[in-house]
Amino acid sequence: MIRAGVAVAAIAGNEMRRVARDRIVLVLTLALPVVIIVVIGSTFGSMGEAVPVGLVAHDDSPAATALTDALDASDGLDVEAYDSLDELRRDVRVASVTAGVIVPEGYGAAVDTGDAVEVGLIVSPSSNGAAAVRPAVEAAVADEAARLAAARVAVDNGAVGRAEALATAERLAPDLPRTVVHREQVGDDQAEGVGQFSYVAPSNLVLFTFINTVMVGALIASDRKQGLVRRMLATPHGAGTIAAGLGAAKLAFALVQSMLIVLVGTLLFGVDWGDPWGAAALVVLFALVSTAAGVLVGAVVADAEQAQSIAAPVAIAMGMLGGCMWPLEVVPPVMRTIGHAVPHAWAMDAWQALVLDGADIGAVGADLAALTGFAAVLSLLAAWRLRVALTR
Amino acid sequence: MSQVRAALVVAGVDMRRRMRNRSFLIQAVLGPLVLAVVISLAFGGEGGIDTTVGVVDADGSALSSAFTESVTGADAGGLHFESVESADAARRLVDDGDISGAVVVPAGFADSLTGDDPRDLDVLSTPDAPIGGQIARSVAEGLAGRTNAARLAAATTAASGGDVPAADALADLELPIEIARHSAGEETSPAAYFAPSMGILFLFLTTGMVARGLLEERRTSILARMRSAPVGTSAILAGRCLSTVVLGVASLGVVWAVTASALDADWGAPAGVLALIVATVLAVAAIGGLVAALARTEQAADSFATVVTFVLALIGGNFVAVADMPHALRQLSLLTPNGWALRGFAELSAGRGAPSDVLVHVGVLLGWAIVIGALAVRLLPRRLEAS
Repeated sequence: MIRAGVAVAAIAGNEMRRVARDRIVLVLTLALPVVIIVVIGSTFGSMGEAVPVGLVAHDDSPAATALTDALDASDGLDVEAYDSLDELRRDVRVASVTAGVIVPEGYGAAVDTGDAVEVGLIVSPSSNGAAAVRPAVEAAVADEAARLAAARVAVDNGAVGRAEALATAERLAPDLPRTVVHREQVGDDQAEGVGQFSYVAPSNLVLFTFINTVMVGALIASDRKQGLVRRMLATPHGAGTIAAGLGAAKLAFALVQSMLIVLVGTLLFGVDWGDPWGAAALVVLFALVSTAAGVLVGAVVADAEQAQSIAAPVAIAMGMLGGCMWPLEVVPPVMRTIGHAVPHAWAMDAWQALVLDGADIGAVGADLAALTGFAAVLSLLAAWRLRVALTR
Repeated sequence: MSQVRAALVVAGVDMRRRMRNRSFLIQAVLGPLVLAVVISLAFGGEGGIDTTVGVVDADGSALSSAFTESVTGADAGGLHFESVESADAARRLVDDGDISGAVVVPAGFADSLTGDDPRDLDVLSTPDAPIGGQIARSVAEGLAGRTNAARLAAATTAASGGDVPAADALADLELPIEIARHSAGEETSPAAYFAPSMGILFLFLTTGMVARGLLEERRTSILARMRSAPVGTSAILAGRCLSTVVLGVASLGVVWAVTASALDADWGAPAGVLALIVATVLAVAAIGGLVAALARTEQAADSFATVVTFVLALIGGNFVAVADMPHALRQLSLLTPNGWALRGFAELSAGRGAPSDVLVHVGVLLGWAIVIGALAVRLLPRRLEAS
């Protein structure tokens, strides 16, 4: 037993030295997740800035100018004037502005007669990126609409003219008490500032740990092809011991990689990964799952090239199904169910509970149990296939 | 002349070898198709949203019950509204994930509107369900906007010496400006964005395989043996480049054909699509060549290709649609060939653009191909001959 343990450690150590010697491989594979989190972290850090919005005015009445000014003055919007609607639509499509506002022809006339009028908001067809813009545009438009509605009521019920009523409304509006919408986040002690990055950081951790670990694990195929692993069988150690040694090396790799992402996220971008025990359990379990999946791929494919070509699409598809690229909230219920057939979905559920809801390890017990199940089943499968591949 | 023939022979052999190789087919054709299907399923159907937002009427006034009725009667598509007993109950439901957000009209809301200290509306949300939270907020902002307008109307009328209308009449005040949502382009299926996007991603991965292949042939001295015939390194490279480009165009072409016929993904004007595909493949092939020139071993080429692929894909918008990115990242995506290619494809599909609308995109991609390609051509022979 002890001898087997020593052998496992020796094989794993040797494996890691082999990888470490190829410094480029080591740096690149460990650096990739870090580079990715740095790129995402720094861009998401700039999210508080004003959003560029294009505006086409088909109407040059004073009312239209007032609306444009109101939009321009609103916090969070940076209004850019456009001459052509087609141009604006194109720029929204290619996302050089986040959304577009159309002030229709006859806006001023409609407003003057008190008719209802529609202001267009152009958003990209395939995205919900405009979600951030809508409240700001709506608020600015609502303020303008309130002024017009108030003036109309005053004209209908008093003896003043419209211009005077508008001026009065404008004068009174800033000092009037307002009903505001107060937002409350439910079920956590986290600050409101827990932003989008707190979703992005764990999802990248899960996605890229898996992709990388599976790709590295799959390299077992090339060792197999070179006969490296068969040669090890010449030693007095069984196939099980050798498989364990190889797996341990890959596991160590996955753990180092995860910890780097966690560290960089914490130190550079202030990501709060939640309850440390829960996070640690999650990182270790998911590393086990990824390693087992990688070794399994490495055991069933013919060579390194095949391993690489299968590992990438499989890992990316699993990440998509499991909610690493978009929250599973936005997909149809059946896809949510299907998504939980991959470990990523359970890991993401747990990370969301830990990071966003401030849950502790007990609260994510079910997710951790599911991941333990995945790890156990995949490890058994990997050990079995590797054994078959080694002794064949 | 003989060098050209040699290059063609090299290209032919390489293509035949790779067509026989299952890995290539998996990565170049099957991978992008599978991912495009997954994405289509994820975002297919009725807007993709299925969410319930709660409405709590703690006020019990005519105004608040009218609001609750109008909202709960407005179920649309996958979006539902549900009346909830109390704010605490709503908090529990949101916490348990039964509803994705809630609007709370607090007790005394209607009465407070005429005073100096109007009550605020509460929106309950959870980071787990951002979309439900946004909907709840939008609904609440609508009510707040109307009540603020009513208050302003009362104040303006009073200041003008008129008769302030009754609270009921003010509560019914309609705002004269509405916001109508327009799409910036044709409603295209998500597959129309993600099919080219995944095609490009895998194009990068396959050119990683080209780099690995070149280095493997150097290691196993196949290249040296080929050079013992009167075949120059440049002929070998030209041949490999040709086969890579042909296969790349073919693989993106297959993704195009399959997604267009089976997934209803309309990529737009065929001439423009073809031009973009060729330009994209050239740019990616050049990057693949540079990877081969910079990597010392096959493993290094794999890792290098993986890093380049994923970093460019992430910044360029292959995973997250460009429009969904933070603004800074969108600007950054213009520094990648992916960003230009994807914008070009979007211009043709969602924009219904003519082929001439993607001239700039094609030009930028060719620029990448020329600059990076020239670097690769300078460095590669040295790397491949030094064995």
